[in-house]
Amino acid sequence: MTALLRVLAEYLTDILSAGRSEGDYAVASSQTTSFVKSRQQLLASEFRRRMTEMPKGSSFATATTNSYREGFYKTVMSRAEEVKFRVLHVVS
Amino acid sequence: MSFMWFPEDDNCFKFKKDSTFIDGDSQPTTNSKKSSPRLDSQNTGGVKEAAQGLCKVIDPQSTLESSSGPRHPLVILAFDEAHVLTNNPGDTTYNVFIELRRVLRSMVKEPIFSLFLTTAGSFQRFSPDIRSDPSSRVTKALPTLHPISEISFDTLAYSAKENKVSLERVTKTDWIARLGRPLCVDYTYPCKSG
Repeated sequence: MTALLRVLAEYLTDILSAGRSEGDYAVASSQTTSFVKSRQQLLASEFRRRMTEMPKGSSFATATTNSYREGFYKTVMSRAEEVKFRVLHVVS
Repeated sequence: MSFMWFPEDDNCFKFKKDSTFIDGDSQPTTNSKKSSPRLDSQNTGGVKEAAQGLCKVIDPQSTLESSSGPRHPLVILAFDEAHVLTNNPGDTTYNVFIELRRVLRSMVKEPIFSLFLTTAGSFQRFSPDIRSDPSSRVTKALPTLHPISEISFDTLAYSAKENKVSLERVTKTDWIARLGRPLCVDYTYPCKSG
């Protein structure tokens, strides 16, 4: 879960950075409720678009993933692999 | 008798007097009983900190945070076909869902909402009778949420106003496609930003 949340934060930060250069996601100094909600909406929409965008030349029947989605999955899994767990049992 | 106490609001194991634990590979003594396993992460930062970091990206100044009343969720974690999380035939008191619920509980104060979706009929493991929940904390203090067990039909349907919509119109594909329940998403349809 930690890996998922951290990688998601990184990916959203990337979207914000890319948006800033295009002027779409500029961070205003005074952030009103409506501004933050619309920023959240833009983030969600752009993240979903990137995660579900079909590779060029493929159809719904042939393509099930894209490189962005695959990269997200692999990054989360590799971060999760770095966590070491102890399995504990309660003894009574 | 010795036992371990799992506090509700943090991630750490705390021991009561004379309590003990054993590693997963160890065997309990003759007179002791081995419980269901509990996972303890050793080298990671907390889930709570990761959740706070994610929320900070979306709402840096906590503008949407409300001290009272319902909170505006910043993130919704959706677990599709979540019934597989409860599949653990070897141990009826332990499954991945229970462990996941423990993790989610550690960030309960953050505006992150979880949604468990399943098409399987056996959803009682997600929202069991409170007396049968394996967690003593749930049994004693925390009520479980009732499942939303059905969704309505024709939610997306166009309105068929009397004397205004023709029979020919309601036989068109785009009209028919909006009837019934939206059970799948056509990923080829691009999401339009609001």
